[in-house]
Formats: sequence, structure tokens, C-alpha cells
Amino acid sequence: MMKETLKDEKKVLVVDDDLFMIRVLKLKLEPAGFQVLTARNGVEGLEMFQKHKPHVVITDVNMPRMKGWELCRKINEFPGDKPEIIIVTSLIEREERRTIDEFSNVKFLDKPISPKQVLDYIQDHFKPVKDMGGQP
Amino acid sequence: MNHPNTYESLKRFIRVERESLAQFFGLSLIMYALLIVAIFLIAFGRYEKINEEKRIHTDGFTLVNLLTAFARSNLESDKQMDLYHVADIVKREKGLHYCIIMDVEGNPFVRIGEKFSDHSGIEQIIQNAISSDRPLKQVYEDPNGKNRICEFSKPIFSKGEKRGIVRLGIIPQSSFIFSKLNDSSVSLALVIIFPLAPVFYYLFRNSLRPLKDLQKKMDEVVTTDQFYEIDTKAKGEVGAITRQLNKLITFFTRKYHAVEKARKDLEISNRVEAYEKNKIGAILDHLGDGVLAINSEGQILYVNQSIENFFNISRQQVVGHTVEEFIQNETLLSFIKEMKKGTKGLGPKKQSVLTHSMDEKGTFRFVYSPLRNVEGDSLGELVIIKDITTQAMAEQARSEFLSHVAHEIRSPLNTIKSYTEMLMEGDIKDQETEKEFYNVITMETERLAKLIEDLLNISKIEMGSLTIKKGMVKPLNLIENCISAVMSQAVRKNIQVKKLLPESLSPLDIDKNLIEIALLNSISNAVKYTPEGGTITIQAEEEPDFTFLSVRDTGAGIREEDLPHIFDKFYRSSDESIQQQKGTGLGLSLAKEIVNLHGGEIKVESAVGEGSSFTFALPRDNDFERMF
Repeated sequence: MMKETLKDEKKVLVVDDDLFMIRVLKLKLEPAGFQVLTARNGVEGLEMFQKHKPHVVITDVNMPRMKGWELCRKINEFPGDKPEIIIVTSLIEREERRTIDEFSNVKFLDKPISPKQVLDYIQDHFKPVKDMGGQP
Repeated sequence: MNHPNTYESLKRFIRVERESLAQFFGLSLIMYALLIVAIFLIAFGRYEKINEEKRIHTDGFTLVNLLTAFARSNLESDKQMDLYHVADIVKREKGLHYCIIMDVEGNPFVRIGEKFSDHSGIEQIIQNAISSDRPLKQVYEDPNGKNRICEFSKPIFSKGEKRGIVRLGIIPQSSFIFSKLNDSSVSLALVIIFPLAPVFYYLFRNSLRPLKDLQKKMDEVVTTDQFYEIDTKAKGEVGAITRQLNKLITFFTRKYHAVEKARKDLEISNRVEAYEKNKIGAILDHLGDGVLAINSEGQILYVNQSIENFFNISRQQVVGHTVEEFIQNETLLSFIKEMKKGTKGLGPKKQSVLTHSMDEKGTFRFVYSPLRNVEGDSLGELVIIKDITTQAMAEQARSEFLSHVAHEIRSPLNTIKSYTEMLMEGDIKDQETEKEFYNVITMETERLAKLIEDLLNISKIEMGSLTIKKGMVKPLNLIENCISAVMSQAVRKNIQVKKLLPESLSPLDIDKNLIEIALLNSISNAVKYTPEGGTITIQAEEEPDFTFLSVRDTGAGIREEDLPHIFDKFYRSSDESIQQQKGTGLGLSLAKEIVNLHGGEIKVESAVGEGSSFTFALPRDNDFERMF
């Protein structure tokens, strides 16, 4: 029953302290049929995740209160389905990337990102879900 | 310390003294014994003498009777030869001294023996012999005084008429010397000897007393462990001994002092040597780097003070023990182990380095190098631990700065790229959003440009390569320029800009461009952080030494915990309302650097909810003013 709801409302959580980023991703993803949730830092992002259980989390790394790495780890500590996590980062932070590499549900996107690329990636991710959802 | 030897010598010496004392006693005993023997001998001599006298008495009278009887019948001249012959025999046989037969006038018929016997000095004796009609015994000393002579005489009667006299002289022959002594000499000897005995005894005792004193004092010397000369008034032997002893004590004292001095010299030289030895130790101790030497068995040979401090151990405690016992740092232990393995397998391994962050203590670099003697034999290994915390911190700061810069540059680039892409992809349908997008792109481009400019300036200031091009600048013009630069933004936010400026301000000798950057940073910050409808007040004041320019806003104010950091590079408040505003994170930092370069100061006052005030104090060039 829960899956039915999810199938209809594909939720994407965007966590970034940069309002321009939030704005642009919202403008890109919403017309494609995604519900875009936003948070301004890691702590807020974690709250939003707990509350709405989004399918995809797009997070920046450098944020106040809680960095993207920690948010990623904390999200993965929650029981249940793991969301797809996209970490928007830069090459300079590749040392820290390694600490996250162990998670299979994590994808890195290098800055500067392309909104189109983000949308394509998310849509790719939802395809098998859609197929599986269509079968029953 | 050679004390025991000294004691021994002294004791031996005293023992010798005691022995001689005993000898002295023994000698005196012998003397007493001799005295007794002498007395005995004298007594015996006397007895012998009496016996001899008796014998001589008997013999003398017998002989004189015999000779008289014989002579009576042989007085005739023809028979005188026979008489002579008999007298000679008697003399030889009986040990007579002389034998004389003479007529009543005293003319000898026969005379055998000493010449003196018929006249010289003994006339009285001869006269007595002539005048006496009976046998007579007379004793006298011979004229030479050598002998005591007993003369026996008897007149010769023939036909009732005295015809002559026979005289025999006998010297008592005693084989015993003492018998020669007469009673008076013996008693004299005894009289002398016996009163002297107590005197001897007293003298003996007296001579012993200094010896006893000496012994006592020697004991004192030995027991008190103090060398001093024995004070004695003793004379003679004991005095000599004491003097010898004093000499000995002086000798020992000198010797002792010499030995003591030698010992002290040795001690000092040992210390000097130790100091020389320790000099290298002291140098190593003052080295900031830790030095740890381990022998081939893995035992600690040496640690310097830095190692002691790093691991909170003490040298005395660890030397001779294995490293594992005292140093719990796993990284270091495994590093040493690893290096050792390498040394064994691949021969002489050269220095090897490992950087390790040791808890809160800081960052350290381990340098391993095998320890070898001149011949190249392995002695163990040397580990040097360098404290590179400062370098590491500088490195970290540099890295963080780079990371910040990258982030700050990437953010506007990210925005520009994604916004441009959205516009190009035709994602933006309405004109309003399109306009908004173009604006954002422009703003972010400007931010990027400004960031790069700030970075360059900061970098120049930090490198010391920023040249200040000073010139006379009118502050009012400068302020107006800055205000006009932010005016459009202020109007958009409905922010009132108040100017509290005097009619004129003295020109300042400053770099116009740099001060403009600093002031503009401050004013645009004020516009940025002041909510819509707020007020910004720009004020200028002149004092003899400084011109004060201040920018006051009615913004959110700066939180107390942020105040100390607002001039730090890339410092951003954790306050969200502040974070919403885009900035380079370098503006205030740069402003401060610029004002400091001019010998001025920036002060900040702020109250949360009321606003902030930044005041620039720029020094006035009074010399310049005086020229006008």
C-alpha cells in the first residue's frame, strides 16, 4: 500500500545551503513529476528524511550544522529501504569520499553540476521501480 | 679513604711500644736478680776469704816453724846452701811471696823473692819481727800497693841465743774475685744499692708514665679519627718515641691529606669527564626532536629528554629495557618492527620516514636509521621523532584555505553553469523567472570576479608583495564613491542611507583603491545584512591623530561567539540568516589587512537584534597638513 503511494509521488530531498541550487533543482525536477523537498543543512535534511522518507536524496557536502558525509551515514543507519543518495561534491574532497564508498546506494556528482544530468540520473533510477510497480 | 691502614699502622706501632715496655720490665727484673746474685756472691766471697785466711794462718805458722827448726841446725855457713835450697822449695811449693832468713841485725843470710821485703817501706814490719821472741803474724800492703801480704816470722834460737829470724811472706791467692772485696766495700755497695732501689723504681715508674700517656693519646688519635700531634713533655726515650710518633702522625696526616686531595681531584676530574660526556647528552636533550637509540636486542640504549616528555617516561627507568615495555605507541612500535625487518632483508636500509598523528599531542614524524659503528657493524637502530605539529598545522591551514577557495569559487560557477543550462534547455517558461535567472548569473559572475580579486589582494598582502600606492585622498570623495556603488542595492531593499559627515575632512595619505575596497566591503556588508526598510549610517569624524570613518547598520548584529572570528578568512557564521547572504568570506579579512597596512585599525561593535558598527581609524599625516 505504501509502495503504491510512493509510485505516484516520487519524492526527492534536496539538501543544500545554497538557495540558488535548491531553486534550480526544484525548477528542473518538479516539471518532471517529482515532489521536491528541501532542507538547508544536514540536521534539517535528516529531519525531512525521517518525516517523508524520500526515494532520492541530493545533498551538498559543505553545509553548516551537519556535513553531507554525516547526513549520508545517518540516513543509511535508518532501517528499511535505503534511498538513492547523490552527493554533490568536488574533486578536492575525494579523501573524504572514500569513507562513503562502502555504500552501494551513494553516487557522486562533481560540481559544477548539470540539472539535466541530475534529472536523467534520477529518472534512470526510477525506471526499474516503475517497471516493477507496473507488473502487479 | 685509607683510614683502616692508618689505624693498623698506628696499632702496630703501639704494639711495638708495649713490647718494648715489657722488655723494660724484664730488664729491670734481671737487674734485681743480678743484684741478689751479687749479694750472694759477695757473701760467698767473704766465706771463701775467711777460709783462705785460716789456711794461710796454719800454713804460715807451720812453715815458719819448720824453717826455723831447719835453719837452727844449718846456720853454719857451709850449710847455708842447703837452707837456701829448702827455702826455695818451700817458696815454690807453697806459693810464698818471699822467704828471708836474716841475722838479728837484719842482714839476710838467705833471701828468695821480692826485693822490697828486706827494707823499703816495711822497716816497722822487719823491726817487729826482729824484736819479737815469739812467732809473729803481720799483715801489710806491699809498697806497690798491689797485694796484701801476710808475713809470718819466728826468731831462730841456738844455744839460748837469738841467732836470726825467719820471715815468710804469703799473698793470699784467691781464685774468687769477690773474696778480694773486704767487708766494708761490700756493705758500702749494699748501702748504695738498697736506697737506690726505690729511686730506680720511682724513675722506672716515672719513665713509664709518659709511655702510658702516649698510649692513651694514641688511642684518642685512633678513636677520634683526628690527626693531631701528641703533646708531651716527656724526655729521653719516651720523648724520642713521642717525637717519632708525632713525626709519624705528621707523615700520616700529610699522606692522608694528599690521598684525600688526590681523591677529590679524581672526583672533580671524574665530574669534568662526566660533564664532557654529558655535554653531548645535554645537546641532545635540548634538541626538540626525540632521540631513541635501541641495540640489536631491542633494548633501549638511550632516550633524550624529548622522548621522556613524549612518552612520559624517565631515562633511568627505561634504559636496558625493551621498547615495548615502556612505549605504548603502536604506530611507532610497528614502524620500528617494519624497519628492522627491512634492514635484515635488504641490508643497510637508509633513513625512513613515517608521519604519524599522536593523539592530542600533535603530529610527529618518525625517522628511522640503522646505528653503525665506524667499521659499519650494526649497533642497533636510531629512531628520531620529530614534532612537526606546527608544520602539520600550517599544512592543514593551507589545505583548508585551498579547500575554502575551491568551494567559494565552485559555488558561483555551479550556479552559473546550472542556471545557464536551464535557460539553454528551455526549462524556464515564464519571463519573470528568466529575468531572475539572468540576474543570478550576473550576480554570481560578479561575485566570482570579486572573490578572485580579493584572493589576489589577500595573497599579495600575505606574501608582502602588495605595494601601497599612497596619495592624498579626500575622504569625503571616497565615502561618496562607496555609497554610490551600493546605492542601487540599498534602494532595492528600501534601505535608508544616512550620512553624518562634516563639511570638510582633511585629505589622507592613503592608497585610494585599497581603502575603497576596505570601506566598500564594510558598506556592502551593511546593506547585505540589513533587512528591508533598515538604515545604514555613514559617519566621519576627525581627531588630531586619526580620521574615523564608521558604518553602522540596523541589521541582525553579530553573535558574540562570532565576533572574535569575523576577520578570519572564510569565516562564516553558523547563523542561517547570515548564511543566506552570499559572500566571499574574505571581505572583512581583507579590509582589516588593508587598514592595518595603513597603520590604522578597524573596530567592531555589535548587539544582536540592534545592529553592528564598523569603525575605521585611519592615521592623519600631520606633516602634510602643516604644509598647507
